[in-house]
Amino acid sequence: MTNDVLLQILAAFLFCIGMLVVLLRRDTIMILMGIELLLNAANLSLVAFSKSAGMIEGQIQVFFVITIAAAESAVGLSILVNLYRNFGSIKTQSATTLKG
Amino acid sequence: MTLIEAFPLTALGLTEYINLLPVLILSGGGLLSLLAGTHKQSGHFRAFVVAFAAVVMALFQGNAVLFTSDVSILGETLVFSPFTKTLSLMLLSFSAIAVVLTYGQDKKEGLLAEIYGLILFATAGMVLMVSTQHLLFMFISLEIMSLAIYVLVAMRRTSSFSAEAGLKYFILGGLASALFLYGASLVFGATGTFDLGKISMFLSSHPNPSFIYYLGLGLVLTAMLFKVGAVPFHSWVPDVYQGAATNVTGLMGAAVKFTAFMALAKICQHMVFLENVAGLEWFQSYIWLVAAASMIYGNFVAIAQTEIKRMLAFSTIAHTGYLLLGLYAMNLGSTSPQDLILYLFFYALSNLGAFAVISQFEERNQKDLTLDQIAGLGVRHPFLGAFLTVFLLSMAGIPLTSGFIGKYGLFSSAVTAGEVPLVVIAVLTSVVSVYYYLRVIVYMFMKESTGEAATYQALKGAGLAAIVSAAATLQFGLFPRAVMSFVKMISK
Repeated sequence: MTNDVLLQILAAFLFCIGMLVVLLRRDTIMILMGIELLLNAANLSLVAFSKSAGMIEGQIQVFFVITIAAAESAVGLSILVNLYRNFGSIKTQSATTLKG
Repeated sequence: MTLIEAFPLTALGLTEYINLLPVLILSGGGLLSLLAGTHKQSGHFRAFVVAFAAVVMALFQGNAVLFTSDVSILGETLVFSPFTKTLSLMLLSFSAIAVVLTYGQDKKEGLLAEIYGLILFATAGMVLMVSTQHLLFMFISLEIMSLAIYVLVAMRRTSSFSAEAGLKYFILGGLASALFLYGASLVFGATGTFDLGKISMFLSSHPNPSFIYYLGLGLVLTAMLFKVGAVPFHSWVPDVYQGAATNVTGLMGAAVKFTAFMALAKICQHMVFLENVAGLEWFQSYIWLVAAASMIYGNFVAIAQTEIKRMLAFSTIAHTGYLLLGLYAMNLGSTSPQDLILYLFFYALSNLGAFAVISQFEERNQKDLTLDQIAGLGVRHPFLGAFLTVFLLSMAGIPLTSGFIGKYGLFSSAVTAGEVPLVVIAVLTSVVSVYYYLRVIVYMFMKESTGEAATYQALKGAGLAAIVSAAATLQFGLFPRAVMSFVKMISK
């Protein structure tokens, strides 16, 4: 197997781990980290694809994605602070006032 | 290869700037509105004035350049044609109504003055989203929009519903964005480009793409179906609709849905609805199934609801189903999205109006209005009752309202395209939907409240928004020809 394929497998593996963290963990901080992991797995895959295709386009786009991931975690943490103020906990099972 | 070679920095000319101006005005206005909101006594009013002025300026500017020649920026990343500019104008008008609707509501719900700036930032993201053909740029504009909306949903800071809704929307929205990004990356790996037009060109010359393409397409479609709130991915919709402040709910039901659906239509047109490409019929059946499930689930669950905002949330899932039917019909017959645009435009206006009426009867931090609370509302407040009746009839698709025109166009084009089974489901389920829309009207005009009736709290902004939306709903319902031929002309 070439490096390109190995990198893609690594990216897919990281993506699956991130997905499992988001779906299974009850701690919202861990969920936030899971979302970051998902975005970074996608970044890795983008860089590897653009490297193997000899195009720089994907690599540049990664910078934008990193910026957005930073903004997203800022928003996410502020939502967590708000959650803690209202429920006194940041576990997902404490916030169950709505039915869905 | 150096960076400059890869990205030749073309200096933008005057025409490019003129076409970009609505976005620039929105983002500049958003920043100014944040600044104006810091004033101690009249911060809310100042922020409102700045935000409203910015949206109106962007509207007029966009209208002035509507029929100038097409401009594309950064090698077709952003395309400004009469089509995309009309979509932007529609979004700007929703945003203008939402800004007006927020005025008055902000003090009552204890929302910070920053809400106006956030609405503008979200609108800027939406305008970029409908103007782009580039998958990664779509991701970026999707995030510009969503990040603002996450904050807007959690904006009622003292309400635990709102905090919970914000959390749910943030986690599921973040997951969907990540799916979209990874999907875009896989599509890039399979086709070597992010540009939707080039992807469809690549597919027409390579009818058997590698399995990576299908994987990526599945992820992208799933993410977009999540954003529009279609059935297997709908679980956030009712909670977020109830938890968010009512003006934010109106904005979400109108503008966010419009944007996400136009992006989904664009993706489907270029990546799914192609002839002679192996395996794509599976994705077409996927859309068929999701459409049928959304219509059936949304309408039948809405019957069981006793709270208005929650009922409207389930009805919005059903409307997503009708729209997906229109999308599916685009594949078979007419490839022009005009029926979708008309339906979304009309639906968004009635949606904004309905939430404008509801917002005037809610207490601070109230989760929802129950049916019992609105009993007798139409007798006590005949005008507002009449407005809400118009909006609900429009959503049900009763003639003389714009909703009928939208629904008729959507269903008849689907029949012409030959998709009869799905239209039968749509018509039958919309008969079901008439029941729960009419039930609200019956409660308003024919029942007396047994418990505590909702008290009316006059909000000038919401009243104005309701009047504007009602006028538009009736106007487009009675005299639809002008707007129909206009949309037909630009979507060629």
